[in-house]
Amino acid sequence: MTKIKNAALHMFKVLWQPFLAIFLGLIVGAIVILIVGHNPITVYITMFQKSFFTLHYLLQSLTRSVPILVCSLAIVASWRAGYINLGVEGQMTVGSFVGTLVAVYMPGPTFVVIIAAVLCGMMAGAAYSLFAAFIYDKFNVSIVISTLMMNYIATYITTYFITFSLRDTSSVYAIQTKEIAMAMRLPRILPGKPFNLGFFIAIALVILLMFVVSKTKFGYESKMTGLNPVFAQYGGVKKTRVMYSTMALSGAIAACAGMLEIFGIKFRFVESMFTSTGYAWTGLMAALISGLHPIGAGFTSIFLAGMQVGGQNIQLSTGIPVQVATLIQSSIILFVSVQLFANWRKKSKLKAAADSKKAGDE
Amino acid sequence: MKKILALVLATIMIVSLLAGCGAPAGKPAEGGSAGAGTDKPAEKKRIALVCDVAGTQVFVLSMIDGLNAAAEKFGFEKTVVECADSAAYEDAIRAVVEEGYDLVVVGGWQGGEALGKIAKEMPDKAHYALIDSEVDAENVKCIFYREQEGAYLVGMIAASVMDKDQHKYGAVHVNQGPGSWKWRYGFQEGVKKIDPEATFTFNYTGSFNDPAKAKEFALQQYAAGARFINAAAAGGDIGVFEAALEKKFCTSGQDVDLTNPDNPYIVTSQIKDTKATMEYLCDLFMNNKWAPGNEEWGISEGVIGAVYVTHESKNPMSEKLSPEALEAVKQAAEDIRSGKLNLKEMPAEEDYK
Repeated sequence: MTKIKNAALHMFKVLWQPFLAIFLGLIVGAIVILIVGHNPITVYITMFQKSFFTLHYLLQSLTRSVPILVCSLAIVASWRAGYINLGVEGQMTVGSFVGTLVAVYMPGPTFVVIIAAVLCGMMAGAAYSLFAAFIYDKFNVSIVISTLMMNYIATYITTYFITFSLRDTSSVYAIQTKEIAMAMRLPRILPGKPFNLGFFIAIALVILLMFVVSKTKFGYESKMTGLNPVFAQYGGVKKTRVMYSTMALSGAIAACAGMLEIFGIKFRFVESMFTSTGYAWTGLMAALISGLHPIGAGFTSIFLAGMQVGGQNIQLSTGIPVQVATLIQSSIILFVSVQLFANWRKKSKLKAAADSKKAGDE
Repeated sequence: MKKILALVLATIMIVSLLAGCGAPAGKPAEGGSAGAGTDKPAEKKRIALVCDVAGTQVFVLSMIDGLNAAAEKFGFEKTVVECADSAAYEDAIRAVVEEGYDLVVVGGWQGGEALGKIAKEMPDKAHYALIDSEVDAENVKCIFYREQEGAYLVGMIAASVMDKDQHKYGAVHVNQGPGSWKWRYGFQEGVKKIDPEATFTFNYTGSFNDPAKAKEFALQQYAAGARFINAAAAGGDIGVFEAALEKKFCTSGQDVDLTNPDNPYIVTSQIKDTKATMEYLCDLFMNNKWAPGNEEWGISEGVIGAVYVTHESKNPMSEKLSPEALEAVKQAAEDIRSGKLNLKEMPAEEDYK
């Protein structure tokens, strides 16, 4: 009985903070809604109805969360090793662009083409990310700066190709590549809803990354490098090798994020499809809020995607303009980002440490 | 513990207080609060407009004006969904179809692809229309324009207001796509009609809402010698106008009458009447005359044109534009209307000399 009580108390101690955070965020949003002359309660009910509590919108939120989630995994993979990769956007652009081209232009049986497209895409993303690692290694160019700048290079180079040589001229205005074949698209789960297999692939990636970071030698080495590079090197970790493989892993995951969006929803590469949506940056936010924990990043990504979808859709029935919707959405996220999931981790770790100490004392 | 409890209670009280104040401020008469659909009289038609973030884009703003005017006239229920990013179009269109809107109008080419896809998937759920683009789906009514005709008139005016020893023209556009090519083609042709020695510089802001970048491009073009700079950067036009006021070169706007007594350098404005288009679509739909089939509109339909030439303005005309020059431009407009001057077929950008 006391055990249950203790557990409940522990849960409360851990969770009161994030809930208070959401609550405070909602209050700040409420003030904004009042200023523009609407009823906050109605607006909030609509917002949550149109993000999580109606099947259609729940699926819409989950669909939107896929690229955000996978981007956050790419961030987690590199940042926890201490390599500040800000180039997820560029890596997803290059990777998914190459993947799409292979899927569109390579002849052969569907199955082979899919495998080739995914592999080529991941390799392209990894190579793009490796280049940043290479110039850091050889010329000491900060990874933060090189990856960040390479985002622009990726965007403009792909835009150049799809504006001129690779543009699908059957559409009059849109700047985009040809569509990938029907058979290569990720199957939908429910008819008439864009929700597709991609979400489950993303979940599988979470589990896979969780396994890699917690159970493999590589995961341990990269974690050690992140915590204390000097100590890790002293302990026999080959720092450069860890850096190259970490950056490659991050780039390959980023490429997957882009390809899941294309093979699942868009079916083609469209100009500025990743810059305008800012998936990589929302993913970065999710990764940081969750304290670089793969599972936490997964949940946070879904939450953030839901806030975006809800914010977009409150315009529908309340007549609130999109800017105000974004403001409300951001104020909630701002408060929630007060270390939502990191807290969970820290507390439970502390508890575990205290428990083991207690056990040792007895 | 007690402190936390007190804090939570206090905040709940504040919220309920706020909610109490908020209730009268909300306008229940304004089309639909939450929980739409179930308790409404079934015969009231519902029309949704899905478009880019309006901001300073007159193209979008005048579509919204058109929708509001039509809603007042026919008394249908309406909503406007502005899309914050490129993925939001598909989500927004699906959402309005899901909410049971009878007519879904997408304003702008950005949503064309998504609309075509959804219209094919769910042909019976709603009626679909697309303004300013074409899409390959039979049940989408597309209305697009011959912008080159208006741009031709603007080009002629541009050449008329230039000093005789100047031959450099500039323009700031959004991107180098086929949409902007219509404007650039018409503009160049119009200028060359009067000033055969003309040379052109084009720059692209890469976004529909970037006045700062547009202004910077205009200043650079001016520094490079351009003395007429056509603003065709959607929301960025304001930036070009600011630059014109600073450096005293002539410029022109687009979409609606943007001439302004405070800025005499805006000598004309190309008209692309999306308000009329929106009202036309609502009109067809509400009077049960809806029929799919694409329509292409130009000067002869009265929705494309240029201020002072085909459309009157309440602002006085710039002194730089002489009545004789204007007469020549008016004649050109007449020629386009009668078909004597045919701009319907355009060369591809790659083939243009």
